[in-house]
Amino acid sequence: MTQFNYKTSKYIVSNLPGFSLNEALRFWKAKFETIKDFKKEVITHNALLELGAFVEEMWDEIIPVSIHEALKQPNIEIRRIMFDCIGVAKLFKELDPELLDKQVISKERTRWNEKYEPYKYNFDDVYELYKIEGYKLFKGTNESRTPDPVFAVRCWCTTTHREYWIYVPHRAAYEYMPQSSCWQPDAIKAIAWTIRINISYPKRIFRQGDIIIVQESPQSIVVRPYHLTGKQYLELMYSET
Amino acid sequence: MYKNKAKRIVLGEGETIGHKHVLSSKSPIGFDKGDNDSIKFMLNEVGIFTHDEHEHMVFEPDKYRSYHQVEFNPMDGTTNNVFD
Repeated sequence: MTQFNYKTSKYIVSNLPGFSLNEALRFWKAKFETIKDFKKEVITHNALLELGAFVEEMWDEIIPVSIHEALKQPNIEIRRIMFDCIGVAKLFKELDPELLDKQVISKERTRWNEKYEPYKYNFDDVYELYKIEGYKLFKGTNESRTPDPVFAVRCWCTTTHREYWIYVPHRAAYEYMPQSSCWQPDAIKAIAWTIRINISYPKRIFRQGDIIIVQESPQSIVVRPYHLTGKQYLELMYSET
Repeated sequence: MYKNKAKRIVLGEGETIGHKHVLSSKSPIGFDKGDNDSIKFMLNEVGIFTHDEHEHMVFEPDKYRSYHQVEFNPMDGTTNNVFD
């Protein structure tokens, strides 16, 4: 049996194979915040322990791939991997995105005190929808059509106040307005899209960080997974922490 | 009706820090795991849902389902679970 040699092996990053160790190291450094995150995700087999030890020793010296390098990368597949590793938050902060919509929602939600008694909690939640034109990310490629724009919704955790950027598809970014017969950007529709459930007639929705809990109603049945609408997001959300 | 029963179940675990979203109840919680890390469960008594960084929640006895928030990947067009 051939022994795994981590120095000469080729690596898969974000499902794309064929990267040398030096290339993979720079992608991993951009992708993972800490060496602990890297080891948890990549060092998943005993055969990779030697690689893990090597990367840990090198970690502080590895220079992550930059947005500038990604934009200069002529191979579109490699460029996509670079953007994937760099991450949505950094990408949107550095590429001068266009703010399409901002909505401040005054909410009243249920919370529970230390005795597990419910009380009402009032706060304002801010949602921002941004767009980066595709040509900023994929200019110079040989694609025959104009590259699609990329959308992300920016929001803040109700409890930790950490900022989050979440990619959404084009169809989640715009809502049809029958009054004006046109599509308008809608940050609430975008954040609602990030909740996908598979039961009809949900009674209440709870959100604790990235975990969504849906309470069933007597009419609920299992259906094909669907994304919440903006109206459902605002009306069914019972508690958020 | 449910394949599994436990008084404490983990509905999600943070990838970065490893904090868990834990549901516990005084009587066993019936639960089944589904697609995309979703879990359906039934509480016979009140359930307390905790996490190290988020405020706790209290669920009344009833049927529920848990899901991960999702995000789009514009690089390959897929929809995937968000992990904090």
